[in-house]
Amino acid sequence: MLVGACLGAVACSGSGGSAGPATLPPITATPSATPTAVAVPTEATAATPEAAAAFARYWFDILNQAARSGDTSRLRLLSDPACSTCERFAASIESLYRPGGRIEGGLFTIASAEAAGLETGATSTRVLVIYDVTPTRQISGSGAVMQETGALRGQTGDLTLTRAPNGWILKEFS
Amino acid sequence: MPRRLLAGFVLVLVSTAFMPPLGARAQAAPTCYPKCAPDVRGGGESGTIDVAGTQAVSDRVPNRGDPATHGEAPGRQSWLVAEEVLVPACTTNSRTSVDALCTAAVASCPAPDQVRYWVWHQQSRVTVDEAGGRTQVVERPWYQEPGTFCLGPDDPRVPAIGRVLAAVQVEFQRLPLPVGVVRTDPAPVTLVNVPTAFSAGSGEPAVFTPTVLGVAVSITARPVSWQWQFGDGQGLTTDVPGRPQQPVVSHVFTRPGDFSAQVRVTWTGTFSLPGSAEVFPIREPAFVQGPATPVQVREARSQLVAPR
Repeated sequence: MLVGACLGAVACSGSGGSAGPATLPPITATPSATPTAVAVPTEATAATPEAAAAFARYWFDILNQAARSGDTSRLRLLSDPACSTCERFAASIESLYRPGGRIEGGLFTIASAEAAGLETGATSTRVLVIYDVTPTRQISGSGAVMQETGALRGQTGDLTLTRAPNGWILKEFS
Repeated sequence: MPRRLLAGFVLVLVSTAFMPPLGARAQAAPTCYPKCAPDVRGGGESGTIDVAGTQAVSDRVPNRGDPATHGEAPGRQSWLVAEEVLVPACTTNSRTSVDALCTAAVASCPAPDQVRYWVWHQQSRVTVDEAGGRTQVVERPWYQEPGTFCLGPDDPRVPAIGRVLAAVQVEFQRLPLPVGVVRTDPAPVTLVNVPTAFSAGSGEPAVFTPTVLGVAVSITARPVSWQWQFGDGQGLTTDVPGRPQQPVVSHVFTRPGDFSAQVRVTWTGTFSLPGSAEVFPIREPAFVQGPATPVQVREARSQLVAPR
């Protein structure tokens, strides 16, 4: 079964910036099984600034998928366990979905992703991401609205990526 | 474009406290979504690069302290040198090439003339022996400081490319923008209570390629507004320059007289840099006041004339 990387138009990474395609291809996975690896698009795996920026966009695609489905397994696979922000995203999603709740909206749209030039042999790099988030509602298992957040616009994220055997993983998001 | 000149911009500072403390990890908040990431725009990220402990000297920054001699042989001196390079946060840049700006680096800062930078550091130890021989050993190779930093053009640490943004804004106000000269139809004499057409040029954009801080900048200026003063106390603002002999912009004089009409044109601008497809806005418009054009307004009287 194909799981789309873009959950509706707002979930797709937008254009802008010079790094990476506007929308990356969908990943192939079986959502019912816990994956042990994520098939990251090849253009997001190389040790280049462009690939690093593409990976950053892809990570947000996966974050959007997790927020929509409650399945954070791929998000965790693309994130370093030491990434505190990644952990907070995943834990938030899981804590809502586990008792039957859900997240409505809350989809990240990437306006631009710019990666720092890589030193020769570098094992990490930084990506500056500017993003918007659609209005978000956290719904409990009983259907009650637990929390509402308005649209976020022009947010800036400073992502630290580190090299992994098959490409990049997100090490920190501040 | 003098890429080499810009790429070579390196600011040297000296520090004995090299690693700024990492911010404390945020505590888990199960329902923080979608604001789980700290807001990096807050407070200290704007122009507060942490070089705490700066006290020693390098040969590029003389007379700011004494080299350390602790533990060295008599007559032997050594001290730490910290190099710092600011790189606009754009994919096309690297530590050794800082000569491109991008929308992400320009548009994400709080102030319009700021640029967002990555900051690279390297630490070396310089040793001068008794004979005056000098060695420099890298103790910590280049690494990136956590976070990004918004700095304005007045900060001495920013590379020249970071100042281009502000310099272009100033340059725009100095451009020889076309002056709008009022044309009336009919001219030079027109009639009361009859629409008189006004026009001032074509409204086409103008392109300039000045060199700003050594960078060949392409500036496109576009006229967007025409403020007409017809000389009889009446005025009109239009978003078109009018067309000769056509009543696109017109005015009806209600009394005869000799008047002076003028137009003030508002120009907005964008600019781009060599090797980049990105277009940056110019914040402040420029205003160009045209010269006075005489308009003679006369009354017309009907008169029956017998056919010949």
